[in-house]
Amino acid sequence: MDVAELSQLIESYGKDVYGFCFKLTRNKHQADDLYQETFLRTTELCHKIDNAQNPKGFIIAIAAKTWKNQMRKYSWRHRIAKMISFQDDLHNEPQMIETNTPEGSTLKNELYTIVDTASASLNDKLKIPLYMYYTAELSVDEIALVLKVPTGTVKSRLYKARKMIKEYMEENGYERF
Amino acid sequence: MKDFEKIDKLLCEAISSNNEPDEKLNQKIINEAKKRNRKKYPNRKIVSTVAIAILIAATSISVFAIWHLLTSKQVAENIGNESLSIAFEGEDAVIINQTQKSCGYKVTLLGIVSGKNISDFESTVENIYPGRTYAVVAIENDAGKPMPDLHDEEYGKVSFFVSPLIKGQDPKDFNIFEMNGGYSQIVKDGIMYRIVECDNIEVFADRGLYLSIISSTSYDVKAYNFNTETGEITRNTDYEGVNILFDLPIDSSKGNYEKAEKYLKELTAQQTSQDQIDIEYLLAESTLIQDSVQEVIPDEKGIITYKFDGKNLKADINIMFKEGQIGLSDNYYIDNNKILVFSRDIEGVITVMTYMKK
Repeated sequence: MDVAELSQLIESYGKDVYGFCFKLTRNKHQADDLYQETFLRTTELCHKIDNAQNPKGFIIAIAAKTWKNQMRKYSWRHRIAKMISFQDDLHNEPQMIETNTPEGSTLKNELYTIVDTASASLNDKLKIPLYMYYTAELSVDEIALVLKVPTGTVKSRLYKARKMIKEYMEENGYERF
Repeated sequence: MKDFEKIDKLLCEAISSNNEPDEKLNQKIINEAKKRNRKKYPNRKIVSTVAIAILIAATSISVFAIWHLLTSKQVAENIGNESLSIAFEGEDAVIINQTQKSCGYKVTLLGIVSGKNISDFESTVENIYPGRTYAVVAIENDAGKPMPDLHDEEYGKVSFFVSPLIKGQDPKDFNIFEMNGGYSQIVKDGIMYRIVECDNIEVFADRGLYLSIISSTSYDVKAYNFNTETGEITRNTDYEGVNILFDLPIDSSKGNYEKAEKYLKELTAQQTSQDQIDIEYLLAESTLIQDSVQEVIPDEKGIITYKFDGKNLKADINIMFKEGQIGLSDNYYIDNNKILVFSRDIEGVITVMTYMKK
């Protein structure tokens, strides 16, 4: 892949890919690393990109796979506490829970925070398709294609993720959901 | 507005991301790519020659082979798993090419291979259970109707559950789900090819192994009979759906009774303890960092904040501890060097502390 093609991909999909990386990592430094690794890996696998089909899905899939491999590499033992934010750098305060919520913060912001917190607590199996759908804005068919699972499986994982988020919100007093 | 629409709309708004890569980061990637491209130039010609050679070889196979299916190696290539395609050419690979029919479908077991690091797609469990087994099957409609491909609306309407089974072990308790399994799949020329993978099952080769294919999304207890006395697994001939069963012809000398028993015990323990790590044992083997010990007070929402060693942690205490729970919480955080734990005493005081692993 030449530099012009890479620049084009970054320009077209960089924002969505970065948003996806940020949601997965919840940390700017890690998001930067994941984003960089994703595009460099994309240049190595460029022969597999079908521009007419779904290049964004292809790149997002690389990001998800790289993320999973990094998790393995760092030997995180899958017991990361639920509903937790863990930041390596105090200068990058998490979006997930705002430490200095302005007094005039709206109910909506609280609502968004709680939804975001609930989504972060899901396991990768549910979280990755959820972020692919809502953050990277891939369609169900595109997610099925990149995760190599039937569309029915994607739908069921999205359904399960929504249900768990809804339950979390109800447990936290948002009964209208 | 219906519940589903409400939550869907909310998710759209709440988890869409406003974070953008900064320009310096994009430039850094482009510079790094330029550097890598320069390194690759000398090899470009060789790569092209190899590519042409592979193309010629593949064409020759499709012209001269009587077999209308892809080989295991070709399936791995089509899925983009070069390392696995090489493994399917190796001495350890077993070419099987056996076909069985059931309920309107024809399933061919193409081949199987096991080994360490033989796939491009690393499994997260490989550092716990080194070595994986990969089996390739082709699934066709017996009437010749093409199998729906990924873009077809019909795709996924009939699901297939493909799993190795172990003679002597109840398949409802030990199937690909428990054996850390997964699969990759393509549809090519109307034929569905699936590579299933799981922990290395060669250790069971002396007991007997099967490969089951069911038209279901998960294991269906009605599909097979398990004889608790002999350990034999057989097809239930009255089953309404696809229920194929192949014997896996893995060299029985690869069986290893002790390793197999150890693996089974571990799987059983995982099933009962839900992957619990013995945290107290881990802590006993680690050193408490005295400066890290902090009593924390939850805010009105139950969120605690813990800052130590340049790290900032927030957790919902209602999730960390069950009602009335005293002592260590079930949740904790472990990285390469440290363990972070939460404790609550009888007075309800919550303490967070960090241990250094030895």
